[in-house]
This record gives sequence, C-alpha cells and structure tokens, in this order.
Amino acid sequence: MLTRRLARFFRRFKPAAPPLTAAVNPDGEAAYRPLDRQVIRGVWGWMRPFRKAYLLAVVVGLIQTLLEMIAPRYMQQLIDVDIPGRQPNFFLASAERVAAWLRLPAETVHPGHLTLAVWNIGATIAVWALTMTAALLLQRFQLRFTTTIGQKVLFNLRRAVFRHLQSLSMNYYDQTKFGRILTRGTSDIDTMANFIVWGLNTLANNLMMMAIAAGIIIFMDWRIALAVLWLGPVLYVMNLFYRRRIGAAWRRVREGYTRVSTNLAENISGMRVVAAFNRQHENLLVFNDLQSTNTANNMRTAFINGVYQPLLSVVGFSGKVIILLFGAWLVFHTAVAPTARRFTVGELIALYMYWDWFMGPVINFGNFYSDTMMAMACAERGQTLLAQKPQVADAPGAAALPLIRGAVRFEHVHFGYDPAKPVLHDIDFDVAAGQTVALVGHTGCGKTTIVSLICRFYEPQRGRILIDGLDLRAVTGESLHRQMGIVSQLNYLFTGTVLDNIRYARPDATDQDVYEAARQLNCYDAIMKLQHGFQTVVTERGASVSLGQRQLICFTRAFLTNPRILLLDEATSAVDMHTELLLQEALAKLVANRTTFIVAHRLSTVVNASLVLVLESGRIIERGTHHSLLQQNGKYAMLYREFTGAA
Amino acid sequence: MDGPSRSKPAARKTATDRDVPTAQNTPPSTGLPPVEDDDDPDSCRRTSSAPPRDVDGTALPLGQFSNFQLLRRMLQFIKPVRGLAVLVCLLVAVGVLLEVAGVDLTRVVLNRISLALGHPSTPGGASIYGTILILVGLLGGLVALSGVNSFFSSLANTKLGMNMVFHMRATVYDQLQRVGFSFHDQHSSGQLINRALSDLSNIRQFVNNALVSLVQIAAYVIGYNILIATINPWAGLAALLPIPFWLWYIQRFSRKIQPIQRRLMTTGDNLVTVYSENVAGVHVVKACATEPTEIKKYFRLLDAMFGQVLTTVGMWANFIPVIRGIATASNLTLFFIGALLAAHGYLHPGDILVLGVAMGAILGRLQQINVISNQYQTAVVSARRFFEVLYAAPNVPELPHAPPLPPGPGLVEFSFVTFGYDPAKPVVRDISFDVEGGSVVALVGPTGAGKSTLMQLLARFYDPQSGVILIDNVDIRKVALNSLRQNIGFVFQETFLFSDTIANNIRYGNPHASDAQVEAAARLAQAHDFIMELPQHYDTTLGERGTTLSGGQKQRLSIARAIVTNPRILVLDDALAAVDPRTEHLIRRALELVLRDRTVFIIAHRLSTVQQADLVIVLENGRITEAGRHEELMRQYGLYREIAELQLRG
Repeated sequence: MLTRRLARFFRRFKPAAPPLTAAVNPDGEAAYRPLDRQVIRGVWGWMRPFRKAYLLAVVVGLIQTLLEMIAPRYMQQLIDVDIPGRQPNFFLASAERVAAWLRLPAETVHPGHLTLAVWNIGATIAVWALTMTAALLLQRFQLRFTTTIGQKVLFNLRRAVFRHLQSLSMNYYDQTKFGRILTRGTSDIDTMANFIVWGLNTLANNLMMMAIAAGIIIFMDWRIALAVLWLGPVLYVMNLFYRRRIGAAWRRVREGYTRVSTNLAENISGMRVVAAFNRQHENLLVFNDLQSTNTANNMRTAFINGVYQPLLSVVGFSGKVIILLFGAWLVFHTAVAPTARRFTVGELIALYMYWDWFMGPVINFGNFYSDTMMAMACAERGQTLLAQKPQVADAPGAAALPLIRGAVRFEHVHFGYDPAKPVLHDIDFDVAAGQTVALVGHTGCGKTTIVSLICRFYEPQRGRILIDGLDLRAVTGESLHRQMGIVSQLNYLFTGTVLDNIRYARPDATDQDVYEAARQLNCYDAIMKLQHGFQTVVTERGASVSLGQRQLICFTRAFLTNPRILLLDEATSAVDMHTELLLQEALAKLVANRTTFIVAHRLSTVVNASLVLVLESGRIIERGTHHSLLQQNGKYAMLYREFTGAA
Repeated sequence: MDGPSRSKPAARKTATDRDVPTAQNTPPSTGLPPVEDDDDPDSCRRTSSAPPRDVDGTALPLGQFSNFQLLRRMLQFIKPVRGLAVLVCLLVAVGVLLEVAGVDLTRVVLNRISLALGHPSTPGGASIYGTILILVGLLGGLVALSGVNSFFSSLANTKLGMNMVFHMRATVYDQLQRVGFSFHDQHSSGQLINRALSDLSNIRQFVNNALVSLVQIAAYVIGYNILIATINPWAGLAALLPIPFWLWYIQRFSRKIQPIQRRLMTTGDNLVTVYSENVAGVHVVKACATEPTEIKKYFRLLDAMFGQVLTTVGMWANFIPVIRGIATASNLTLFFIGALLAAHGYLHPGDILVLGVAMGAILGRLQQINVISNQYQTAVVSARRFFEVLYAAPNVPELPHAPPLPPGPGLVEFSFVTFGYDPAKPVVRDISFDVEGGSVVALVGPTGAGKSTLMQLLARFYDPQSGVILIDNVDIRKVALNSLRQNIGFVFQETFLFSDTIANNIRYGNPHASDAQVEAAARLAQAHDFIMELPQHYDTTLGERGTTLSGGQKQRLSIARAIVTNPRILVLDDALAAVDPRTEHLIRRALELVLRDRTVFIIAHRLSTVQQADLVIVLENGRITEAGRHEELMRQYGLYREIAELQLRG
C-alpha cells in the first residue's frame, strides 16, 4: 500500500508530458504549449531588432543585482569588524592608505573624538548607502529601458496582427470562430506581453541572483554550501509539483466560475423568457448548485495551498536551520582551533541572508515555467495567424477597374466554401448594365453565395465572373468595391453615430449629402424618429436602434457611394410593410440606371425585376421575368402562390 | 491567466520568504502586492487600482446613498458569516504572532552564539551548543505550528469569501429574475451582468480584504514594533518614523497614476472595440474597401496607447526606486543606530539583523493599506450600482395571497387601456376590445404602433397606467403572476434559447413534460424534421459551443416551447418572420388543429397570415383604427386595405 503510494508519488516527478498542456482556454484552444524551437525562433524574430538593447538591459541588470547583493557582506563587516572596533575596517584602512600617500596622518581619517567603532560603522553605512543609491538609479534606468523595448515589440506585434487580419479573405473569417480571432489580437498578445516585457527580464535577473548567491555561499564556506544547496533542487521540484496541482485546481475553478457566470449572463439576457415561463424558482436552484460546485472547487485550491505553502516554507526554513546550527558549530569550533580560519558570527549572518537570495529565484522559476508555456501557446497561434495566406488576393499585375457600366456575367461558375462540398453548380447568366435581377429560392439554395461571389469575397473554383467583360481576378479588389453597394442580411453597424455609419464607405460625404441620400430613399423621416435623429449613437447590438431601422441605415450607407452595382441581400426583411413600400417606391427610381441584384423572401420586391433567377440546391432552375415565370407555372409560380397565401 | 494562482504565493512571499526588503527586485507589475482572491478568476486581470467601468463607460449614479451609508451596507454582507469572520481574524492574528515569535527566536539564537564567543568561561561553547539546539528545536516547533495555522487560515479565509459571495450572488440573481421588465428595459443586459459579476466581486473583495488585511496589518505593525521596542526602545521609536512618509508617498503615487491608468484602460477598451468590430463587421469593411482606413484608425489608437504606456512605465520606473530607497534608508538608519548601540554593548549581532527584518515586514505590510484604499474606492462605485439593482422595486407587484387564475375558455378583454414605458409618453392609448375564447386575433400595423406592447400587457410584464385587462372576466392584477403566465404561451419576437439541449429548451416552461410531449410539440411547430437531422437529435446542445441554428429554426423551437406549456392563450409576436412562407403555412395549419379551443394572438407582417384571422386589429400610433375580419376591412378604405393591396399587387 505504502510502496504503491510512494511509487505514484515519485512517478509524478518524471519528466513526462506535463498535464498543463491538456488545459484549454475558453475558446477551446490549448492554453499551454511545450517549448518548441520553431516557436522560439518566431518569438526571437520579433525581438531581434532590439537585440542590442536587450543585451544592454541584461548587463545593466547584472550590475544592479551585483550591487544589491553586496548587502550581506556589509552586514558581515558591520558585525565582525566595525562593532568590535579593534582595527579600522576596509574602507577606513583604504582611506588611511590614501591619506598616507598624501602624507596626512591617519588621524585625519578618523579623528579621535569618536571611537574607531563609530567611524567604522559610519563608513560602512555610508558606502552601503552609496551602493544602494547606485543600484536604485540603475534599476530606474533598467525598468524604463527594458519595459520600453518590450512594449515596442508588443506594439509592433499588435500592428502586424491587425494589418494581417485586414488582408485575409472571408474564408478565414468563416472558418474561424469570432472568439478565437478576438483572442489573437487581445489576450494572446497580452499574455505574450507578460512574457516578453517581464518574463525574460525576470528570468535573467533571477538566474543571476541565484547563481551569484550560490557562488557566494560556496565561496564563503564550502562545507555549509554542501550542507544546504541541495535543498534548492528539492524546493524546485516540490514547487513544480505544487504548481501543477494548483494549476489544475485553478483550471477547475475557472471552468466552474465560467459556468456560474454564463448561467447568470444567460438568464439576464433571457429574462423575458424566464418570466414568461415561470422559471425563477428552478433557475435559482440550478444557479445555487453551480455556486456550490464553485465553492467546492475553491476549497480544493485552498486545501492545496494550505498544504503546500507551509511545506514549501518548511524547506526554505530548514536551509536556515542548517545554516544556523552548522554555522554555530563552526563558529565555536574554529574559535578554539587556532590553526583553522575563524568562521565569524558575521559570516553566519551573511550566509543566513544569502540563503533568501538563493531560495527566492528557485520558487520563481516554477512560476516562470508555466508562464513560458502559456506564452508559447499564444506565440504559436500568433505565428499561425501571421502565416495565413489570403485566399482572395489581387493578382500580381491587377489593374484598377475603370469606371464601370455594370454588366455582370457568370460563366459556368462552380463554387463551394469547402471545395469538396460545392454550393453552386454551373451558374451561368448574363446581365446587361442597368438591369435588375432577382434571386429567388428557398433558404440555403445559394442566393447569398452568388452575391458574395460578385463582391469577390470568394473566388469560384471553376468558371469566371466578368464585369464589363473584365475578369474579376484581374482587377484590384479596392477599385471593384468602390463601385459597389452592398446591403447584406447581417446589417452590421459600427459603434458611432448614425451619421458616421452612413458615410462609412465615403468618409468625405458632408452631412447634407447624407440627409439627401436618406431623403431620396424615403427613409429620412424614419431615421429622424430615432432618439437623437442622425446623431443617435449606435451601440453594438444595442437596443437604441431596431432591426428595421438598422436595415434602413445600411441601405442608405450602400446608396451613399452612388454605386454602379447594387446588391440587396434580404435588405428589407425586418422593415415593416409600410416603410418597405416607401423604400420600394424610392428604389424604383434609384435602380433605374444601375445594375441591381435583389435577394428576397417577400416576393413583392421581385415583381418589377427585369430578370428573375430561380435557384434550387445551387442550380438555376428557372429564369425569366415575373410574368413569363408565372405563365410557366413552375417552381416560381408555386413560390409566389405560397407567398400570397393563395394556396 | 494565472493571476490568481500567482497571487497567493506572491503575497506570502512578502511575508515569509523574503523579509529583507533590500533583496527585492520586483518588476512594476507586482510593485504593490496583488490581492488575494479565491473566486472570480477574471477580476484579477484588472489591476486593483482600476475603477470599475460600465459597459457603456458611464456610471449610473444612485444619488440617495452617502459613501458612509454605502460602506455600512457593504459591511452588512459580513453578517451571515460573522462567526467565520471572527475565526479568520483570530487565525490571521495568531499567524502573525507565530511569525514574530519565530523571528525573535532566531534573534535569540544568533545572540547566544555571539554571546558565547565573547564569554571567556565557555571557550568551546560546548554547553551553549546544547541550548542552541533546544532553541532551534523550539523554532522548528513554531514553524510547524505556523504551518498548521496557515493551513487552517487558508481554508477558513476561502470559506469566508465563498460563503459571502454565494449569498450575495444568490440574492442578486433572484432579484434580477423577479424585478420585472421595466428594470431590464432600462439597463442593457451587459450592464446587469457586470453588476452581478464584477461589481459584486469588487464589493466582496473589499469587504473580505478590509476585514482580514486590516487585522493582519495591525498585527504586523504592532507585533514587529513591540519586537523592535523590546530590543531597544529608541530603535522602536526610530522604526515608526518612516511610516507616515512611506504611506504618504504611496498614496500620492497611486493618486497620480490612477487617472492615467484609467485613460489607458479606456484606450485599451476602444482598441478592443475597433478590433472586434473589424472582425464582426468584416464583410462591411471588405465591401466598402475601407481596410486602409481601418488600419489607420487602429494604428492611431495604438500610438495613443503607446504614449500612455510609456507614461505609466516612466512613473513606475520613478516610483519603485524611490519607494525602495525609503525602505533602504530606514533600514540603514536602523542598522546604524543598532550598530552604534552594539558597539557600546547594548545590542548583539542578532538584534541588528532582526531590526532589518522587522522594518521590512512592517513597511511591506503597510503597502497593503494602499491596496485596501484602492479597493474601497472601487467598491464604493460598484456598491452604488449594485444596490441600485438590489433595491429596485418590482414593476408589477403581486397582491398578497393572490388566487390563481380560475379556469375558463380564454376570453380576453381590454378596456380603456393606456400605457407608456415612460408614463409621460403613452405608447398605446384607450385600447378597448374583447375577444371570444378560442378565436384567432391578428394585430397589424406599422413598426412602433404598439402591437407587442399590447401583448406584453396581457401577460402582465407591465401594468397599464389606466384601464383594466380581464381574462375570463378576472382582472389580471388580482391573480397570482405564476398562474397568469402559466396560462399564456408567449413566443417573443426576438427568439431566445438557452444553451442547453433542444429537448430541455422545449420543455423549459414545463419541466415535467415527457419526451413524447416534447416531440409532439416539435412536430406541430414543424421543428421535428430538422431536429432529427442534427447530430444528436433532441439531445443536441445549442449555444456558443454547440450547434447554431438559423433564425427560422430557432423560431420554430420557441413555438414548440410555448405549445408544451399547453396555454389557454397563445401569443405569437411576429414569431414567423424568419420562417419561409411554406413552413409558415404548415405551422399555421398544424396550430389550427391543436389550438382550436385556444385564444391566439398573432402579430404579423405577411398578409397571408392575417387573412384567416377571426379578428384583425389595425393599430396606428397606439390607437385602434380599424377592427374586423379581413373581408370587412377590405371593404373600408383604410391602412389595411392599402397594405393588403400593395402586397397582393403583382
């Protein structure tokens, strides 16, 4: 029984894959990653431009640490030499030598009205104070300098990530969860910041501290060094073990807490449903259940802390005990053995002080280890992102699209978001400039995909899309988008005023331009009905603007650029019938001389289109005008009957 | 991520492992010791000096409480756990006592060693060595004792915090569930989530910390000062001198850096907003070809932030050496005094070392005062907002001992109902109509005419300012809210599903519904087919980490959810907007069968839905302008006919 326990205990020290790497962040990605040469090379790549500065910082840090680490030696001198006051200490003796060289009597250095002890103590404290002043000045420099470099690296990284994200095409955004993309630019970079700004610096400092302390201990007395230094590795391993267990426990706390907070958040957002279905009591029970788990998880961490913290301090403390006992023995022993070098009380106290310098870093290394792995995971993800190639990019010699007339032609286009699963099959149509095209069909038949292809959000796997006879692939994206207006289903608005949102694509438009565009679309009055009219601030998913009103704003935004090609993807689904009618009256005039694609469920929008394409499962199954299709009495006629309720 | 896991050892480190302040080599981020926190891992990411902010950046003032009243109310959260609180304070004080005793014992050991050396009668120190062995053994015992003590205080302190937070959360949770719609209308859910999570956590941290840390600080300052004073009263006096200066400087720094940190945080928030908007609205950015503009915007913010970061870096780089300088100066002064006294035989080497240790411990602990004062400022702001939630009165008060709604066919009568979310601006005015049990009523009218509002009044989510609403001839204000809402199946315009399995979502209003009932409801709502196509059918989990459904599918689930409760009255508030016409048609057919004897209210834009209603009510600007059957309304030349003709024109 005991042996098995012991075996299990020791197995944990094996350098097997640390359980840390099993942890995931809230987005389901690995939170930790073992060291990896390629990732380190990547991180080094970001730091490389500042390598000289880093070197300087390390050197300054080394000097500062060295200066601060003289302290126990001053203490030693204070106790061994200064207080007994039998002879001048090192500083006074040096000063005496200088005085002798200047042919001054030794008395000038320490006049006799005060005892030698007082002069000794004064000299030591003064030099000590000077040393500390220098060290603190160096620290000030180092803090400022190192942090600034770290922040520069970090901000460069932020810039690179954002710039790169902007260059990626829609397929990246489709395939990657919103939360993950968000993490890339925010918490991932912050975690790395911790590492690049503080972690490396702390590592270097701690390494120096520990090495110097160990060196001094060995140098001062190798016997005591032998007796205590082995505790270092023991403490390190114990700390590692503790970090692992507490890390796992904290992970559970975090997971449990996430459950508590999600439950709470969900019930607040869904409060109306809660009230309507009388769930208050049950919900509280569920919530308190989650809370109890949370309490239990926290108590587990408290238990682990309660056990390990004293254990760790006992190991640290036993070093001090060894130093005290062994030191005391040495003090007495060398005092009576006249042949041996005297081991003094001052030395004992200095060793006692150096022990803290040795143990502190050992503990810090344990923390540093998990920090590093966390930074590695973030760095790796950042590198993966930066290595992503945009799927749709301007071809090398792409020319700017000239002012277009707006003829759109699909030549046998095949497309799937995943090439293995085609969404569009052999789409082939030709639209003359200025025509209005309606795309009709059930949900999921590919209407929106056709619109996205015209926008060049994706590239077809086969076939070509031509605008005014020019292949979309041969023109620059920017020149294409400048001449298009898109109102999509998602009707996304940015934080800011309605006014700013409308002129989003044309920042140079004046207020009057915006009002004029809204008037032409007959939605000026509807926007003026908002709390502060055009100055109303739109918040993300905020309640200040209703769904229908959002659509109107998007509509005006698309129209303001005076586009040659207008794409309306379910643009008015949430607008009430009355407003939609007004909009359509306006549209009838506005679409007159631009090519327009309309996707709509409500077929009332379709009636006036010059071409109706009926889609089913990614194929065009019928095409014609509203009337010719009704006469065909096919799919379209059926859809139309369903819509008007005549079925 | 590891903020909390690091905070414990770090906080301890200042106390035990590193008692010599000159040995500190701390980076600015830990210049002030982090707060111990057991719960709410996220809150630790923010620095303790950060003021709490709301989602929209504004703090909603709750003017009626003074800071003192707020403090008193906050401290009341201790009441339910006061026994535990006393225990924690005791354990903490004992822990400090043990630590001081340990330091004192070390001093005695060192003194004995040097004394024995100076004593001519014990040249070999052989006899004294035994005494030292005993003393060190005693020291070991003390350390063991303090280990046991720290184990129990770790458990007790966590328990204290957790019990407090449990109680507070349960209270605010229930309050939020019952406070009513008006309150939720006035606050975005983000704001309320913040109130219940981070504001609550701020208060709890402050209350917990103020209690425990103050005891600890007091114990440290008193304990170590007594230690110094017993060594030498003059040294004890000297050790008190730097304290006011020390506190003043830390306070001054924190006052100076706070506004800058606040600004930095705002910039950081803006940065995240721009970033996330660019991800969420990427199609707009691409469609408008504004990538360069966005990059410029982001970089501008980054530049501003970099400037602010450099300012704070500079401030920290000035602060840390100075604060350490003060500590060093006080240490050196004490060493100087101690050494002088020792030279004259008043003190021994061990005493001098302990002077430094004690001074370091006192100053290190006193830094905590600043943490508490920052936490206090944060907590006051948070408390104002938190109590605003906690003390909000429910907007639809229930009569004491209200009876349940008596059974009936589902007659609904509105008589002269006037209501406005803001009483000064009525949304619906003088609404009167009555509906036979079992009939289908369609509400039609432009956006903002008050259709949804009328329905919410029916379920008593709000009370009208004047007028009466009767269900089966009973005033709805006189019956128990539970029974009223049990009898009304509500399908909201904005579908909200919980991240749970589909089956559990459907049986949300009727947790005891059998699987067969759930499936039957899903079939009626035309949801069964798509549910069966999902990987785990009815056990598929919805939500962020689960499957996402289209708008139409969600609406069908929420219809099924309403059907399962078997309501007397069903309200479909534009519930079919995202469903395509064919499915809508099927749903209506199915509903007609089941809900033959139920009263149904439908709010819809599509004419096809409206045509078959027994009664069509046309609302314009909060008033009923037309009412009757489709055919009757088509005969009048009103809004209805206008809309209908436009939809039918083809």
